[in-house]
Amino acid sequence: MDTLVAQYSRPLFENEGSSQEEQLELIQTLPPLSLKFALPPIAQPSAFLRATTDDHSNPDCPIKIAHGTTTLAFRFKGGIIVATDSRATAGNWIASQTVKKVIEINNCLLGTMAGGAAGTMCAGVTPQEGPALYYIDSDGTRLAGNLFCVGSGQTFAYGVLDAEYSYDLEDEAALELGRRSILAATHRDAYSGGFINLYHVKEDGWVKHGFSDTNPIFWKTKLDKGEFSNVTSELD
Amino acid sequence: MADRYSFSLTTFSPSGKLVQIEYALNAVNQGVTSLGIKATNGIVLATEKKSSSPLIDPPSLSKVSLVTPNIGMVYSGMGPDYRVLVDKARKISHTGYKRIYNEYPPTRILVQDVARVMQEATQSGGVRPYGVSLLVAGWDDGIEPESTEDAATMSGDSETKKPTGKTGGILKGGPSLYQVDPSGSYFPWKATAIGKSATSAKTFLEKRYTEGLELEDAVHIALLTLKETIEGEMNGETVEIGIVGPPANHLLGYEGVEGAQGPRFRKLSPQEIEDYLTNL
Amino acid sequence: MSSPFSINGGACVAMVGKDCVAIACDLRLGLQSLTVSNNFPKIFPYGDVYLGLTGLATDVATVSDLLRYKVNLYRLREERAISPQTLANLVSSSLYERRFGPFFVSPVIAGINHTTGKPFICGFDSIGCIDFAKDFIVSGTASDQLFGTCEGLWEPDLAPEDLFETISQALLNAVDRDALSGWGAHVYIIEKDKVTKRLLKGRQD
Repeated sequence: MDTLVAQYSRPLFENEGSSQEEQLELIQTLPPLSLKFALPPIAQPSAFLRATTDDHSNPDCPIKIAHGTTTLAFRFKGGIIVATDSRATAGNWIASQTVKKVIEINNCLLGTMAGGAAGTMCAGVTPQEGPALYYIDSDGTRLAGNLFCVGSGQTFAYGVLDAEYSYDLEDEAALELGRRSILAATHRDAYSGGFINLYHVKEDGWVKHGFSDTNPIFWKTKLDKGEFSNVTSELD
Repeated sequence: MADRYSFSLTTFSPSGKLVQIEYALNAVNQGVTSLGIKATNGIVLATEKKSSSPLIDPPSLSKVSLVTPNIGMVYSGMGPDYRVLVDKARKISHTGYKRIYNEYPPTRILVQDVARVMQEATQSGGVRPYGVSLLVAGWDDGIEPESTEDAATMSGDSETKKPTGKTGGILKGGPSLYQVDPSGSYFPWKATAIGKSATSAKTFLEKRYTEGLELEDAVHIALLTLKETIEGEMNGETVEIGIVGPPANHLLGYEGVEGAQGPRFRKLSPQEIEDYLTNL
Repeated sequence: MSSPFSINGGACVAMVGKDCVAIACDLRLGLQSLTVSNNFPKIFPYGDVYLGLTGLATDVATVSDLLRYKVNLYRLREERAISPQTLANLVSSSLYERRFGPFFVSPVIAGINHTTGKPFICGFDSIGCIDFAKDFIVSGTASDQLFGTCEGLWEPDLAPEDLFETISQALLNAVDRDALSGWGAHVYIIEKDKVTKRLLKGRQD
């Protein structure tokens, strides 16, 4: 019986990956008796893997994702404001200052990205709900709400946003609040920076309000409005 | 615990003297005369090498010692105490300076360090003062007196402040000669003598010393002065001379290394001394 | 990312020019991602020699104070200002003294020797190994970027004004690619009888 079974059954995973022939082919194309392994062009592969993978926080995540980000969105009487920074970091290295973290899903739906386990936001206007704002993250959380900030700079954005937020804000004031909140976050959070990406979601679709460098905005805010007085602009 | 019961042997007399130090000076004043003369381009240290018996093998005895490549010293007084001080001076020039700054101490710094060792022996428990006076001769890198004047005349209308050799700081390069006493006090000299005939030797030096002296002349004067005080015969075996002069690159033991500089302090060989003596 | 060298962040660079040297640093002090101060200079004067210190901020403060004490005692004892070479050896021996419990700093020295009149720069690792360089020295969390900008911008025999432009561009463009450095900069241009200190307004993000 056993021999019969063995004759007609196959190992469970036999056909997974490469077939036996394919595997043989792979082996036979290698130089016979070669003791050389192809190694990544790195001094210490183990240290490199530790630095570039994130098996600690997520065993299924093969590559470490840049976490640094500030994104925010809030509902107000004129619709929804969506604002993000544009920095991407890998460790302390600033990989890009011009990342588009707002996803234009269609002409009346926007999404935002914050890397890794941090959440995303969906903002849009639907006939059923009107202006709708959701926070979603990778472990399945789905929250509807009026105001969200997400990413490594979220606390700094919340600081400005909570202090100045009101549902009855005019359009211009709401846009300025979104811009100012991201600016605060880019200033204090090392992993946020670059450009401010600003959107206004209205009943008839979203409107983009620029992708603007923080640097001139910062100095204008400091010098014209007297804010950011912690920053030195002259030698003592 | 032991030091709790080790009281200082050097205590003030009611009249305010430290007689132990005076006794140490007496020991110095019974010692063989040594002298030093500073020239513009170097220094000479000279002493008599006295043997108590004709059976003593003179070359094994040495009174002039190298401390750092550019600094040497000689003594009058007790030989054993001197050797201890030479050891300590050599050691402290490394532990207290070269191992910190990767360069040898300037002469004044070394003199201060040795003087501290001698002073501590006048204030510590269970020890006696050193029975020696030292003459320390050294050459310091930095701005030499002559080149300062050159720089001053050359700079002309430039308003930049140039460091001068007259500030007394270490920017002052060139030769310097110090005497250190058992009390720990030290004095800079142009020329001086210590030991048995110090007084008469100094009177002699006062007559012969002139400003702008060259090293060769200084060696000559040193031998003349020694001749006045010496008791036995004067030859290459009985006279010991150390000079601070131009870098002696032949003493490096190697050549062809750019920027390498030989020691400025070296002892004259008996033959070199004989040569000077024949020209006396 | 919990290396003591990259908790607080910071960058420093020194360069040699014609009869002049330059040294520059950023002004950020952070705690990992949080920027705490925008006014934390990392260059310290010792007479006319300048020392830049990057690394763990507490050690930057301690080492700069320790060396100030040592250099002041040196000046009193020797009645002269310390030369850049001598300071370099003093820094080296002071760091090596802590060989098995080091200060987490990467020092940089820039100055002109007052006896020879020659420009001098050098850098160190945290246990005092001296890196003598004829061109430039970099240190801090943006050192990789600084190597790039310096290799690209530096050339021999730059006059003081050109050296200022070169070191400023090298530093600003390097720290703009480092999350932990930036937020303004100080630049010193050291000539034989003149030192010029300038503030650079860098990006504040």
